[in-house]
Amino acid sequence: MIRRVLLLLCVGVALFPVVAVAAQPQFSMLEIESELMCPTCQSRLDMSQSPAADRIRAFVEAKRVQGWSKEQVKAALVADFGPSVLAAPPVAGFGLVAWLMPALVAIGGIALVVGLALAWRGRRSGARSGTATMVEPGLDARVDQELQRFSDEQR
Amino acid sequence: MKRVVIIVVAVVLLGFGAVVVRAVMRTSGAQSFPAAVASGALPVAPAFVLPQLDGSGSLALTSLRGSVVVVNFWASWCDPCKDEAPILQDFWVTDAQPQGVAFVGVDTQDLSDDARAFAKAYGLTFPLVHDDGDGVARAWGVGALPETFVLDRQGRAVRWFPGVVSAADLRAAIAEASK
Repeated sequence: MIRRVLLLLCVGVALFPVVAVAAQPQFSMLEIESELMCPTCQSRLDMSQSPAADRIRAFVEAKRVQGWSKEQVKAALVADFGPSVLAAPPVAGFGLVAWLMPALVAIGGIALVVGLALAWRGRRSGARSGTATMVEPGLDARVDQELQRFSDEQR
Repeated sequence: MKRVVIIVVAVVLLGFGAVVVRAVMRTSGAQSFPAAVASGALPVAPAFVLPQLDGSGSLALTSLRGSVVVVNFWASWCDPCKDEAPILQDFWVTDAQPQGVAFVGVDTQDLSDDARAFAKAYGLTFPLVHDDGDGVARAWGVGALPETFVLDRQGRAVRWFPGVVSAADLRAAIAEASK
C-alpha cells in the first residue's frame, strides 16, 4: 500500500511541470481581443462594451486560464458565431479576395506608374528625335564649316 | 505594356466591385424581410437547417410546413429575452402545443453553453436551435433581440413582432395564420 502511494506521488511530482505548463495562459487578453469581432455591434471586441462582447470576453478569459491556445479559442467561437467573429477574414473562399486585394492594388499601382513613366519617356525621346529631323540635311556640316572659318579668322 | 496595365487595373476594379456588391447585399438583405412581413406581403420565410441546442440532431424549418409556426429569435445575454422566456414557455404549454402550433426558438449571436444554461434556468421545453453562424439571423433581418415571426401553413410570414411578444399578440397572429 505504501509502495503504491509512493509510486503515485512520484508520478504526480514527475507530471507536475507538464500540467503546470499546460495550464499556463498562452496569450494575453489584449492580443486576442484585437483579433475578434463583437457579433452584435460589428466592431472589434476590444472596442465593444455590448453584453454579447462581455460574454465572449468572459468565455475567452475562462479558456485562457485553462490553458487553451488562441487557435482553440477561436475555433470554439467560430463554431458558435461563424467566421465573422474573426477580425481577419479567412484565407479561403470569398475571404481570399480581401487578402488579395491589397496585393492586387499594389501591383496595379506599380504597373500604372511604370506604364506612365515609359509612355512619358517615349514621348520625350520622340519629341527630341522630332527636333533632329526638323534640321535641314547638311545644316550640321555647314554650321561646323562656319565655326571653323570663324575660328581661323580669329587667329 | 499598356495592355498589361489595363488588365491589372480591370482586375483590381472587379475585385473592388465584388467586395462592394457583397457588402450591399449583406445590408439590404438585413432589412427587407421584416419590412415585407410588416407590409403584409406574406413573404416565404428564409429556410434554415440548424443544430438543436440539446445536441439531438438538427431541425429544418421546411419540415414544419403544414403547421402554423412561431419562430422566436433570442440570446442568453439579451435582457428583454429574460422577460419574454416565461411568456413563451407558458404559451407553448397552454396554447401552442394543444393547438398543434409548432414553436422554434432560434438562439443567435450567442455562446451555445450560455444558451443551454439559459434554457435550463427558464425551463424552456419547446424546440430550440442554435444559429451557428450569422447567416440565418441576417436572412431573417433580425436586428435587436428578441424578435418573433408567425408563419402560416405554407411557410409564409404573417406577422412580425420586434421586442417582447405578448400572449395576446401571439394568439391573434396564430388565428390569422390559421385562416
